[in-house]
Amino acid sequence: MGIQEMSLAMEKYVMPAANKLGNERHLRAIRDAFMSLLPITFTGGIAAVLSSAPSVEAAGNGFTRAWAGFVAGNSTIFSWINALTLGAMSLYICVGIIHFLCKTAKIESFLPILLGVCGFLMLVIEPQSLGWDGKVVEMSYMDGKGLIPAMVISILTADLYCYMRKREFGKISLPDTVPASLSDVFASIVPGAVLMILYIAIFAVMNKMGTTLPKLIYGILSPSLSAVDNLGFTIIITLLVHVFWFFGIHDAALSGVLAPIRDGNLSLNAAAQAAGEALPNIFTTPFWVYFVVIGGCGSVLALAMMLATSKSQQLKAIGRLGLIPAFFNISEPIIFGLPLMLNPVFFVPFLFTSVLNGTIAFITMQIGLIGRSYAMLSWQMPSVIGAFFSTMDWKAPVLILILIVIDGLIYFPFFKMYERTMVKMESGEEAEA
Amino acid sequence: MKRILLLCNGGLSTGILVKKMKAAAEAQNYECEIWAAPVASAEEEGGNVDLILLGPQVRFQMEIVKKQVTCPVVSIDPVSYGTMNGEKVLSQAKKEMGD
Repeated sequence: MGIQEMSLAMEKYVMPAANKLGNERHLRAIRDAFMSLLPITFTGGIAAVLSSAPSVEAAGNGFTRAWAGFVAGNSTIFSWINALTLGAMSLYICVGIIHFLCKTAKIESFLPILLGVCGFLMLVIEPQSLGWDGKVVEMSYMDGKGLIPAMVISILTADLYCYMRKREFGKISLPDTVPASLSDVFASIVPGAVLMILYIAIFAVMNKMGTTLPKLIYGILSPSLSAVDNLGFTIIITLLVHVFWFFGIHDAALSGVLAPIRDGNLSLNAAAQAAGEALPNIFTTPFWVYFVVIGGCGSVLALAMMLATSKSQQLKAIGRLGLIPAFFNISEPIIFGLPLMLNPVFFVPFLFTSVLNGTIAFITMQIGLIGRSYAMLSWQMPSVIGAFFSTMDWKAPVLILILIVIDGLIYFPFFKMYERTMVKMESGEEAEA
Repeated sequence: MKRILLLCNGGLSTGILVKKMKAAAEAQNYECEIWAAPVASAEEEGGNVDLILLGPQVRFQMEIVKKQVTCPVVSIDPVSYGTMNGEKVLSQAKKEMGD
């Protein structure tokens, strides 16, 4: 298929799909909510890294011993940070989704957020004993396991609230002399009460069944959720993201679906790490950022290095321009500048380097050769550094270096092919001049 | 003075381009204000703006952004974007604004 036909196919099939996925308001609200979570997951990640001192017996120098002692002495503080950052992400996601949904519906988000928080706490936290002198609850479903209930509660709250407010459902009319802010409160009484009654009804039903909403949902979905954390899924998702990028479309169009999976898995790993248990998941946000897309989507870091030393003046210029951004996982200059986008020469390596990175990293983590990730620091942290801090395994950055070499080997023949045509073109231009 | 806003997913790669465009504008003695922001904040950032330039990778959000602002919204030519050609993108912007 020629490049023109491919361009046409893109406009016809891929763009509308990206439009639909990227602009659907619920998916967009979910994506924006996850993006807003960054300061919290970042702080939780730092705390997780700090609390992972190497065991004292294994490495016995003064520094690691002091570090391990510090962690042991402050374990409650570290566990509490974990429980309220990554361990409570569902609550924050619930707030975020309501906020962004109300924003697109052009309804003030403050009251629906209050209602949603109440609904979330009522349905996700499980009361164990509610005495007058002290109350004990079980809150572990506020982590990644509670994401689906959080989405259900937030979408239900925001959509129902906005629907009722727009139709002035149960609005109590007040004389004109009443201030606007007060009449706004009155207008929200009935919609608020409807939602509160709904939460209470759901809680009552769950309670009589001897379960909670997140336990019920998680029980039904957990087989399919664990099916998501496997090699086949990793390959399919990586391919899909790169098909989007091959057409020059940012994978944000997909992240309304992907972010809950990646961050949810991360949160479960962080909880397991804090509890000193084996990490259950591989496909997490740091796995994606640091191990799969090395140098940004297309895994262009190795390619950027080759370009920067190319014989072709044009390719050299692109390489030098794109190398530093690629180091910080920004691949746009190379994708649009080389270009990789819609460039048939690079179609195969563009799609498959990241797939291979993901496959190798997944298998090495599955067999326990490389530690799994439990901390997310920043999307812009270079892979080699991020791989170390997200796993606290010194073998992880070694793996990244090996993967960069492999990426280079895959890109090399295609790069040479392209370089030859470019050099020929450039010398032709000079001959003409 | 013209105000030009660049939007991409996180405001990072457009951030690189902003620097190049500012340099180009300075070389031409063209007075303008240019800055970058995430596309999610189009509504807050895009109030008092003459032109919005979308990174090509987020051009699928063009329709949404158009609904949020009153100024014209155009997608940056992908090759000028990739080569971070501040001069070309600036002249594209000037043409759109009729300068």
